[in-house]
Amino acid sequence: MSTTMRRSKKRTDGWVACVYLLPAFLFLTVYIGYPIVSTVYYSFFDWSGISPKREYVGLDNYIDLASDKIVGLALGHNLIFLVFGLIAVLPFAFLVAMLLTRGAVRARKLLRTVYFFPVVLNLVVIGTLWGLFYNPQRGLVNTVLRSVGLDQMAQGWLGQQNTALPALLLVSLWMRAGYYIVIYMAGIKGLPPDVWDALAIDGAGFLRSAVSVVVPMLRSVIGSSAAMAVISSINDFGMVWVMTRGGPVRATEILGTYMYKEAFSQFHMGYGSTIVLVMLALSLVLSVAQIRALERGLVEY
Amino acid sequence: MESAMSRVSGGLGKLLSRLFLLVWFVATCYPVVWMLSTSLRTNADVVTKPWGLPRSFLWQNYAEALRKAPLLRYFVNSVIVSVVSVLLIVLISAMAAYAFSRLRFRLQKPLFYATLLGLGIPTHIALVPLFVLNLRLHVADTYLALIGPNVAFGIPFGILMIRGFMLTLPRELEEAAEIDGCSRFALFGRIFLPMSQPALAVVAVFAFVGTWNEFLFALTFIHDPAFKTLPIGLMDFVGEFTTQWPLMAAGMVVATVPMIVFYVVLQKRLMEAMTTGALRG
Repeated sequence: MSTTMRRSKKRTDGWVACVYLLPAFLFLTVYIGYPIVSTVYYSFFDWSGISPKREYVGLDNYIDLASDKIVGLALGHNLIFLVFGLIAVLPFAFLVAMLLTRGAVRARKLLRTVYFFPVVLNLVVIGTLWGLFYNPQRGLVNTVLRSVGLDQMAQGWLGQQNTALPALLLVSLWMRAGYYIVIYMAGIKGLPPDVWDALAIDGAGFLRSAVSVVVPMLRSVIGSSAAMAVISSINDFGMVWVMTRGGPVRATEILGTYMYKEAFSQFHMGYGSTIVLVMLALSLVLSVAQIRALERGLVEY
Repeated sequence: MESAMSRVSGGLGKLLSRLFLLVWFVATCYPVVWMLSTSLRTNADVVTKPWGLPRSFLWQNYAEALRKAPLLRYFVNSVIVSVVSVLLIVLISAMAAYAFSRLRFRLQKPLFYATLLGLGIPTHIALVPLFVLNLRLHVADTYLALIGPNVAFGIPFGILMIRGFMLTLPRELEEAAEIDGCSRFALFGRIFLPMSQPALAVVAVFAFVGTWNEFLFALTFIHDPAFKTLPIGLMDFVGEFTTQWPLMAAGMVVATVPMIVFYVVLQKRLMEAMTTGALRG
């Protein structure tokens, strides 16, 4: 009796675990697992998604993908967002965080609160507001330019192929910097105080000391923020969709907008699925690194 | 410390750094302030001086915005979808986190890593398959079409956070409770759930911001205005009145005010919730 009880107690854990895990795995299976499997499946078909006619085309979608110039173009734009994140947004946020934590600044908390706000602001609101700022006739940017006599520089920022992407990059700086500012501020505050004493003795200049001493000490925070910036730049969509839909022509097309148009405007659901798999592959590779960092850190939480 | 600081604070450096921070402060504030002020101006005024100061306080813009589009309907839809999604995310994540941190069973590690992988799956992957599935199961244009994927993509982070927290709770807790004859289910509901409150709050806040602003699923799965949430409803609205900036602004304010209030009340917790993933690394 006692042995069966002990054994059954061991089994009970498994049974109880099933009950506790069931809802989570139900959702994960239906809404993530199933989509992954069926995306792979659809990628072998030529299919509108609506009509019952679904033609098996083997690897045709993949062959198309490999020679599709727009995929290359879109991937290039994703890469531009990515690089801009790494060389502009993150360093900018780091600079602000350093000045805000170490500089003689009043109203530190207020500044931090305001800097962070765009992070929780709706993408549609952000995109619409900036769309109005870039408006060719009445926009703020052109109004300012005209008021300082630079009339010839006033232009339709989002409507021209050569200015649309830089215009969006500026918005991405505006909406994302606050997130990294808060992360870096917490990281900087967490450094032992004698770091700053050491800097004083060395007499290192502020910026130089920031780069040579503080950056290495914060490498895990900077590393995970960089991973986040990279992953988010691959999965970008909302801001670009609201502001330009990937246009004009393809000037701001990214994988997310191209996939969306292929699947839901052109109704090439098979090909759309193939494009998604590129996004999936890229983000999976990159997230493994991030998950490792997250997990390592969370044990200490 | 003094000298490092004085380098920043001394003279020109001090002035420049303050100016720099001030410029960025104005840049982050300005769009929101402009939106608020424009929503109170007349259209004629905005047409002639779009970036001028408000000379009127015209609350009619709000009445007109609410009359011309079912913004309140979108608002209610957003509340329903967000609240249900957040509650489910918190409860389901906490249950799974309890299993992963406190129970022993086969496949524990692989299953945990499988859920973590969910963190790296782009939401785009769900669009085509769920669009098709929704049509087949007749759940297109329902709340479920949004709540389902919201929950699925929300729980990996929830499980990770809450599990991490539960691992820090002392073992003695459950031992004492078990001696008292507390069942495993009661143990979860009466002890672990209440004790994990700080982690649950972080997950709830994070999930709320995500679902309130959720754009991609709503864009793809909802076409019936009766079920549209604020982001998409608002996009339709501003697309319809592109020349009437005060009306657009009023609509955007209606959609933004709840988040502003939420942010002002919970800002510290919110910043913590949004950034905690990166900081633990």
